[in-house]
Amino acid sequence: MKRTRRMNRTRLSPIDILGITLGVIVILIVIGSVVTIARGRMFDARWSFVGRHAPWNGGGFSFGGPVREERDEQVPSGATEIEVRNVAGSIEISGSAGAAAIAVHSVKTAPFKAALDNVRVDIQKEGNRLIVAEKHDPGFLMRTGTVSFRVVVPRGMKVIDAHSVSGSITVRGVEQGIDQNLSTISGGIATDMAGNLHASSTSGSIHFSSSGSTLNVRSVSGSIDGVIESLGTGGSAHLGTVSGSVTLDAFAGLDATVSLHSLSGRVSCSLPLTVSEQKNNRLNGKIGKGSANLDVGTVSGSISISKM
Amino acid sequence: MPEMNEKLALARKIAERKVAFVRHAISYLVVIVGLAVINNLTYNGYQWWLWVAFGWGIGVVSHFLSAFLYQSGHLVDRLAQRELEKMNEADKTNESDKT
Repeated sequence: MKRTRRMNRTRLSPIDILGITLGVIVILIVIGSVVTIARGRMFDARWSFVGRHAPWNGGGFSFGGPVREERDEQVPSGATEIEVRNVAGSIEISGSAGAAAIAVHSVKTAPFKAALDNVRVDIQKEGNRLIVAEKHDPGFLMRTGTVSFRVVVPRGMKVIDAHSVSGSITVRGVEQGIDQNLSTISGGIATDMAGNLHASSTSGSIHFSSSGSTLNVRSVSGSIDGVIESLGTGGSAHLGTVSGSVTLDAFAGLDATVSLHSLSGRVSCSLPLTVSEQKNNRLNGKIGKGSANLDVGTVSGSISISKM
Repeated sequence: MPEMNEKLALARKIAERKVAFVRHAISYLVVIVGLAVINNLTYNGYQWWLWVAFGWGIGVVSHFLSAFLYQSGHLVDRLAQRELEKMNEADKTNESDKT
């Protein structure tokens, strides 16, 4: 009796066989799609379940792993100002006395080929200004590619603007006195030989040397470390950070009204300062006639100014 | 006779569930294959149809489990039967201990 009942239970009707077969197929599809999505292979892996090319596609896709593409961009000549806008990659600008024109070298990286193709380097010339920008086409999860720029500028440049979101910005070896406007959110900034300088970062540190009459350096959690090589009569220097420290080396002939203030950090100045006000974390005074204006403020970071 | 009717109703319910699942699974496969073809004919990079295959697939797998494993409360019935047998065995051992 028992044996008969067991036999009845295991006997499968055609609808049972069809249903179970379909169920197994659907389970395999779900597992395959989960694996494919989790490994990020849905971007250019056609028919990735079975790992082969679709018959109407010629090929050219890659499975897994980051992809990279380097190239020298075509750049119009005659620009004396450059503006570089980036999102996640770094920006390196260097000077070359032998260069005849601006050269832009881009390095694109992405986790998969489609995202790499989705990143473009857009170069336009507006008057004397060359604008180099990273561009993405719209698309869900397609904005994962990044570009790093290496720019070489010749002599005779007047302005350098560089903006990034999470990449670092470095300006090295350019001609002395070029006005620079540099900003990033989470990367660091390093520049030397700047003329008028405006630099801001949220979490990165800032290293600079400047010789212009305007100096504006802001950070939130990063430290500021710089050299003031010159600050003309009537010039102004404003430096501020929240939790980072500020360390400045100033040229010997600095002639400025100085205001150093911190909420909880230490304040010190080794320059010959005629003190007009000194409290716990505040130090005001004049160096020389006080023709320029030097204002440095922090919330919890220390402030230190010394002679070059 | 009422027992027979009850069994027939249950068998019919189970058969209806199985047929409904087969229809659901076939429509799933047809639509997913169609989306995959459209995806690869229009843009052969990003395989967006996988999201549909995954999301809808979870629903179809749940339907499969309910149609072929649970079978209209059979699992609960079997478990209840087993619990009842355990209780009877416990009662018997208690009685034998008393005697």
